[in-house]
Amino acid sequence: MKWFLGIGLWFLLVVFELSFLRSLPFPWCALPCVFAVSVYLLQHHRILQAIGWIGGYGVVLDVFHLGLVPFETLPLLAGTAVAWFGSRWFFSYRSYYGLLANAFCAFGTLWVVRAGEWMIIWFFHPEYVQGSVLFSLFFVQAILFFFLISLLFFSAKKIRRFLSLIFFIPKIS
Amino acid sequence: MRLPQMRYGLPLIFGVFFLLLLGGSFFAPWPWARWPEKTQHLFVEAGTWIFQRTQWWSRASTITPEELAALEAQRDAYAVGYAQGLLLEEENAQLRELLNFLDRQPYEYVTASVISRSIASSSTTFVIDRGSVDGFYKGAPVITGQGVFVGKIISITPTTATVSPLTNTTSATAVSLLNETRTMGIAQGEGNQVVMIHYIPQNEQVDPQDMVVTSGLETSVPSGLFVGIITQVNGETSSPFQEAIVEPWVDARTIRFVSVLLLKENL
Repeated sequence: MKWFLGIGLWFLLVVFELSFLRSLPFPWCALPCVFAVSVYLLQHHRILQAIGWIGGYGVVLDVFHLGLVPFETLPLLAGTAVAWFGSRWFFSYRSYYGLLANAFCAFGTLWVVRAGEWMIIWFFHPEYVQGSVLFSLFFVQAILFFFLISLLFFSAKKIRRFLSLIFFIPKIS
Repeated sequence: MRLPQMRYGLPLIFGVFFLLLLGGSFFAPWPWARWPEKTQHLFVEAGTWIFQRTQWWSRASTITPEELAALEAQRDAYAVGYAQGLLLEEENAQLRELLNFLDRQPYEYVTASVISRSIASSSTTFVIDRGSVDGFYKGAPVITGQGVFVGKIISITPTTATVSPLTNTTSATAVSLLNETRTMGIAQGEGNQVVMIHYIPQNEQVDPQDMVVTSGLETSVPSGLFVGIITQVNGETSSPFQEAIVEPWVDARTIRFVSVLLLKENL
């Protein structure tokens, strides 16, 4: 049951990002909604299904050529792996700073792997890579990512209530 | 005893039904089965509506009176040209009728809606709601309703196709200039909403405001599709070549509907 609801929520989130947010003017089109929500669910609510969300999102981006790099699944999964590792071993799930630190590690890993892919592309086709555009995109996306993560953290009670209402997570007595 | 079954059984049935519909929509050729694409298009419509309004607002606040006057003069010139064009179109239709002109165009138009986009600042690929079941193929040219060239299809699934606009860094289009010598070249996307034509010989007379159309040298792209207008020509006299910056006539970020030109033999 939880899995079906998860897929439904994932579908809505992906459509919201790829169809609505991406049609908005810059910088709002760069908001990494699915990644931020998944990292938040993984760190703050320990919902492991979020790893699948990111993987599925990466596959969608690669199949439809909508990613920033040709193999978007790779950096997304690397970022998620770091987020999972951090939430499991390093950072407290109750603390805002723990969430921020883990999100910082995940986001950093995502962009480091992306940069690696761009380096390979640049080696073969330097005209395809525009350093200044990607650099500005990194900063804009970082600001939006941390803004969204913070917004989610401070709405945690409402999110928990919603998730327990649709049986996504057990109720707290 | 029945309550827990109702609580989980019904959502389970709905869940399986939803998954079947979601999975099936990627392969089903019937229009009614394409509900995810229709949902996505609604989101695109909403986002593009906001984009267009904010663009207008930001541009309106920065325009100077001189620019406004220049634009008004340009509009008047276009209005005169448009009137003349209408007369010529009417005359052309009458002459074709007289000659019993047969439509020998080897292309068919198929319209499609935009359902998803990539991040607009760097690359502007977008996905449309028709695919290989509708006869689409890689390399098919994509145009707007007014016949302006937008880009080409770079990948397809049974029910969707991804379009790469000509402004993308990975896009290249064979073009021709509507100048005296009908200069030909390759328009290479620069990523920042402009296109560059490199390696134009110095002896070619290229000026700003020259119109750029597709040359027809690519098998899948017909000639004469309007691409844009040259805004700047760069090239030192000592250099063997000059280059021209072209501003595309359509902004791929604001497109919601497109037409795809398909070769009749492929349909």
